[in-house]
Amino acid sequence: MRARRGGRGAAARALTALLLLVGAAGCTGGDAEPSGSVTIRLVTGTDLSNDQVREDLISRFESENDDIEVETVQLPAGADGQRSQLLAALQSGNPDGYDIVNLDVVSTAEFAHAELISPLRGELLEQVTELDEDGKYWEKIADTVAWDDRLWAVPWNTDAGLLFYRADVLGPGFQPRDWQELAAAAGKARRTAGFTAGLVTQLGAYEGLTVNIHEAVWRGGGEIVHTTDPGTRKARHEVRVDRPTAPEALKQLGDALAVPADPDRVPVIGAESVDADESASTGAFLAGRALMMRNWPVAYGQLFDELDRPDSPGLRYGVATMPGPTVLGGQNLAVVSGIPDRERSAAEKLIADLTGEPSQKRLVASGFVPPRKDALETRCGGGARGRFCEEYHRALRAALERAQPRPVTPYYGAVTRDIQDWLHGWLARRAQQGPGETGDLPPVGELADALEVSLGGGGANHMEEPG
Amino acid sequence: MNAAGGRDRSALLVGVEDGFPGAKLDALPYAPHNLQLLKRQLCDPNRGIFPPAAKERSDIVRFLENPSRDEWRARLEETARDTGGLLLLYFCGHGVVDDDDLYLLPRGAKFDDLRATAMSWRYDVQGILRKLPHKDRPAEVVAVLDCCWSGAARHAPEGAREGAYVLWSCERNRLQPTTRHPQTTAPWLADATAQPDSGELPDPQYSFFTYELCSAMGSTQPGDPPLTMERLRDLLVPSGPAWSTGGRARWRPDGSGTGSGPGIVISRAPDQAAESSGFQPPPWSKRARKPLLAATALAVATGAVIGLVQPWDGGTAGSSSASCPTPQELRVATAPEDLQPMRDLAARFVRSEANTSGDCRRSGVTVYAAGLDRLREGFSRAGEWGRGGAQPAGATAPGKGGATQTPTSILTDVGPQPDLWLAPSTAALAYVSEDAAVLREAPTPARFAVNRMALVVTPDAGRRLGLAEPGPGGTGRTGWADLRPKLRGSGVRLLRPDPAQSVTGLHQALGMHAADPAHTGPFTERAGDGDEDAAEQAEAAVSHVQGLPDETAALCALTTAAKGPPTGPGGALVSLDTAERALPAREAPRLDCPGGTPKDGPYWRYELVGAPALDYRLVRPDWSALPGAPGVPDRREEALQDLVDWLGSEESRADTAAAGFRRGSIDPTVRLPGVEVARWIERLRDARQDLRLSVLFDASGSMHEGGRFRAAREAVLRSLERLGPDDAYSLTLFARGKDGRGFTQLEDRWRTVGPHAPAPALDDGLLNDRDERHADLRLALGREVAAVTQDASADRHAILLITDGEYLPGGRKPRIAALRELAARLYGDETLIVMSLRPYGCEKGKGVPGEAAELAQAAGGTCHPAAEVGEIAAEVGALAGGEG
Repeated sequence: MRARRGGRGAAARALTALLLLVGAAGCTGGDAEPSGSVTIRLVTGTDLSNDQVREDLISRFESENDDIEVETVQLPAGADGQRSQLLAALQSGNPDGYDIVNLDVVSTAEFAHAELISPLRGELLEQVTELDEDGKYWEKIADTVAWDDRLWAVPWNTDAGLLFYRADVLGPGFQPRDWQELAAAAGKARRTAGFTAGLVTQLGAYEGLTVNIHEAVWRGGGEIVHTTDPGTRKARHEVRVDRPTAPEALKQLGDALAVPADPDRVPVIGAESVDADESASTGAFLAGRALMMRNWPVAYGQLFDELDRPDSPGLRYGVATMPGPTVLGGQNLAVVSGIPDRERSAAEKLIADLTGEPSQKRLVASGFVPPRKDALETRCGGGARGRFCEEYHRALRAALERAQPRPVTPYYGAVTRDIQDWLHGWLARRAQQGPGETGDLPPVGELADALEVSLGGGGANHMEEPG
Repeated sequence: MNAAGGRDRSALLVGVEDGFPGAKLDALPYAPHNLQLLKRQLCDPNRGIFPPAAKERSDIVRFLENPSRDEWRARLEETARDTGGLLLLYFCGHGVVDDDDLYLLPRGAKFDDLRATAMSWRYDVQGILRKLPHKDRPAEVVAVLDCCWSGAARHAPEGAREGAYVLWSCERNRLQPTTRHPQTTAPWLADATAQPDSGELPDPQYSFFTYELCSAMGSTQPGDPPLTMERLRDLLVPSGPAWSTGGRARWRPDGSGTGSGPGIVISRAPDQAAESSGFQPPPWSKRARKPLLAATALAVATGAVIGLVQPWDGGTAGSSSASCPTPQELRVATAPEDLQPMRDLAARFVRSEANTSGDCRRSGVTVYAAGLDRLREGFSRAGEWGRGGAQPAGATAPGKGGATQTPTSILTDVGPQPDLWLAPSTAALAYVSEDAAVLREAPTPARFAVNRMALVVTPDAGRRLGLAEPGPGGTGRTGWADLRPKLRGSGVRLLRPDPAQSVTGLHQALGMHAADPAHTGPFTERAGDGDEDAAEQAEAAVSHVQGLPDETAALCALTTAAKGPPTGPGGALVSLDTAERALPAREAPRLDCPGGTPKDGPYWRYELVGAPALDYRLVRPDWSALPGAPGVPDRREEALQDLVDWLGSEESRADTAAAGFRRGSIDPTVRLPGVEVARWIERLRDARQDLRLSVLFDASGSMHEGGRFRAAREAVLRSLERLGPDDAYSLTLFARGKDGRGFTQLEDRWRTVGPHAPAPALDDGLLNDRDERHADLRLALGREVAAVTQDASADRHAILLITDGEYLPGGRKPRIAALRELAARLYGDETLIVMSLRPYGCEKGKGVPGEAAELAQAAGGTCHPAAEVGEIAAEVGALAGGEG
């Protein structure tokens, strides 16, 4: 909390300065506005919504603003490729004239630190500051747009992890209070019934693993990295993965992968998760191989679709919160630094529109989770789909209230790589081991050292990752 | 700041006067004078950063004149270890470049053994600093190099705890002027326009660079901010004729820093009383100084803005929690087969010393995979790449096969704009670079590694081909010259990666081509009838070829085909790209096949002679060659050069081998001088039999949801784009009407793709209403299977089935057994590609009907979920390039 107040203070100061500047400019009279329209280039990943809602919103904006044309540059699929293209292009001097970038929440600090994006000003600064101060954003969202005492981006959509489950097996209203209850529920999955796992989640060697590692450590009461005053100049990171609670929590995650001695029993987390991403997890859950699934809200729509099939009348799904906090996901819109004033003003206008309340409500209707609490409306019908819908919204609100950000650092790319390199191989081996085997956790001290190096911006690291 | 017992700051000034007559390098009589001049400036009572007291000065500003290499190394280590704050290194003498490393020549240097007799910038200067324990390292290091080729130092010294800066006198590929003065025979030290009227050089003499360096250091005025290294560099950067020497050669000073390096203060501003003191230039250089003084005035004018807080690549923003600059992000493209090894290798580099400067990482690396034809397309449209390359909605452009298609975004279709491409072979590079200015303008690609071709066969196929069984865990040896005549009529199916997409397929096809008995001598440079015949003969040499996108897909198909019914082609033969990774001496590759990783079967493996080996090259596209493109910022250029250097260095040899790449030279079994690869691939395509592609498109109401229609439409359009001019397609909408049993023939059999053929008008208005969700999949597929099996217009057929599942009235379940029976009719003769739009994709199990997966398995085909649009198009492209 304190940290965000620090950020708000800086934001407020910046806002005051800007208003003074605007006031002064207003007195000068100034030159006539250049005539003709301005074209701005928005760079973003693929619109995964059901109905191309983002394109619709942009088209509407253009129709309401005759002097602004918007070109959308679609980035490669996958978060790694998107970040890579954006970062490298802007470091190369922005040869393709990007004006607005849609950044994953973990990338904002990286781009801000390099000053590849501009700090917010004017209405956008006012908008984000007010929404944060008024508590209209979900908890912690503003932490993902603050860096160096300034605000650099506007939250566009958000995410939090959810627990999907088979209500026809576990019963409606299932809600594990802790990991032990979740593991006990996994015991109801039997191989003879076609299950191969109690829970399917994302432990492949990509960002999904980092997310799951954070959640596992948090629910065990530990931390990977502790950050004080995030987003401010006083921000400090302290690596805590080597403190007792974190290794214990990691061991618990590893133990969940162990193969039970009883041939009809399944592991709490199946071996399939070791290579799984979000899409593979959904496939395994829909195929009936797992009783529960940890996934993002996007899976809700896919499960919802399957509920109406007449050939599976007994099928029921439910949604609960994961035990412990989950990772905060989402995307933020930022203005590229160094672009001409006209483009910058137009870009700010578009961002204000896309993140305003009407657009946010429209995005919700197409399956996005809004960063603004007031935009998340619940309109559920009746029947199995209606019950599923109500459970989803209840769980989503609860998850968003306690979701936590990953470390806010300009070197996040190195941090997440360390976590993946040190722990993925161990989890893969653990999934091949029986319950009696210890499955030694790699030395967390070495991981801590690696994270320490990465959080400081690098330097060579000669330690062999256990892979 | 100061190390225990050490000095706060030291300078080691090295001058080597000796010439090297054997190498035609003159003596440099100005060297000792340069040291004195610089020392005087460093210890200037008003501007110097070192104390002026004679005793102290002589102790901490050390001269090293004409040292041997050993003396130099010892003094450098001693001085560095003894300095806790700033260490300043200066060199004046001869420099040479060898193996991309700068060598500073001490007394007695031998050109035939520079590594042992000269000071290597990389291994001696940088190495000594790096090897010091962290606590003994200087906080900051500045190096100033006044010698030929000094730009090759380009990386600030490593090992400083906080930051470093290197300032060099000329570019890495430049000699400094060595023209001798016609009258004095002394080295010509200044611009011809700056010579004194008398035509004589002053005594003592100085090198032009060091003279201007000291001049700039002495230019600060009262009230100026202290002069930092970055500012000093700005003052010295070429600003006009001052650095020119009659067009013969040029000095070209520049600098580079890390961490706090750019902000290191090298000269102070005098107070008012001392204004008149300072650098007193010899009279002959006054004219040459004018541009620099003008630059100084500009610097003073802008000093209030620049100040002491030096922006450094985005700046450190004063946050002690993030004192390193954001690493430069490098994008690396590689072949799909090499993706994981390259990712492993890149991770090693990122954590290596080579990527470190002043305890900061210079760069991060993202590796991604792209097929050859995608890269060829991307590079040929390089100017559009960063903007995605897509036209506004509704626009059309000619497709690859000449059809009018909606163009796709290069960024989504290929990937990020690569800063480095690991070209898997010279032939692949020739194919991709044909229409690519950014590749033609690129620096000469560095060699990286080599790999041989390998082959994997089922035991059944091995017996039919008369191959000797290699034995458990063994590796056999065979070659195309033997295989080629045996393949025809053997009933063995060759699973061949598409030569246009995969370097494996390309080299295997080249190998088969070279094994043509009628082929005598190397391939010719020009297209000709003989070559066309050879291509046709190469294609006709095998009875059954199944084209696949890449080697991984071929291996996956092998495991699937081996489980197929005995009535199909009796076995399978697969080409692998590298012996290094695929043969059993190493762990078998982990396959990411649809439906999971298959277990490694009892396959026979062979090293394959007769196909050219892969000779990997590191290609750096020159994006600045595009019209209007800005130059690549130095820091990016340097970061990229670091990566290239490391990949070719001894330091990375073990990591490279661990990743499955073999260093070494190629002993080519096939020589390919002057092959026009692109022409040859075209001829190969022309030689293959025409393909008829039946597209079955689900029109049921559920296709409106979840972005299904959009993904399906894109898959169809991108697949049609991959067809050749003699291929043809039909497009049928099925599941029309409330009962899901109707059809609409959107494009009749068979429609060719040609220069004037519009893309099919697939619009979501063609779909049923949202509540008309029924789909009779068996009826639709049955109709199409009957049609293609009876069609005699071509020998090869494939069905692309776009389905959102079978959805029958009355809550009846999908008829899996009947669907399987239907699909099995295609096995071995026709190809079935299924795109499943159901949320469960290609899964099957107790929770889902799994129609799509069941159909693909029964037909020996493939199944793809909605997200795999690119993979579907690649598979159609491979089919169009291979025989069935």
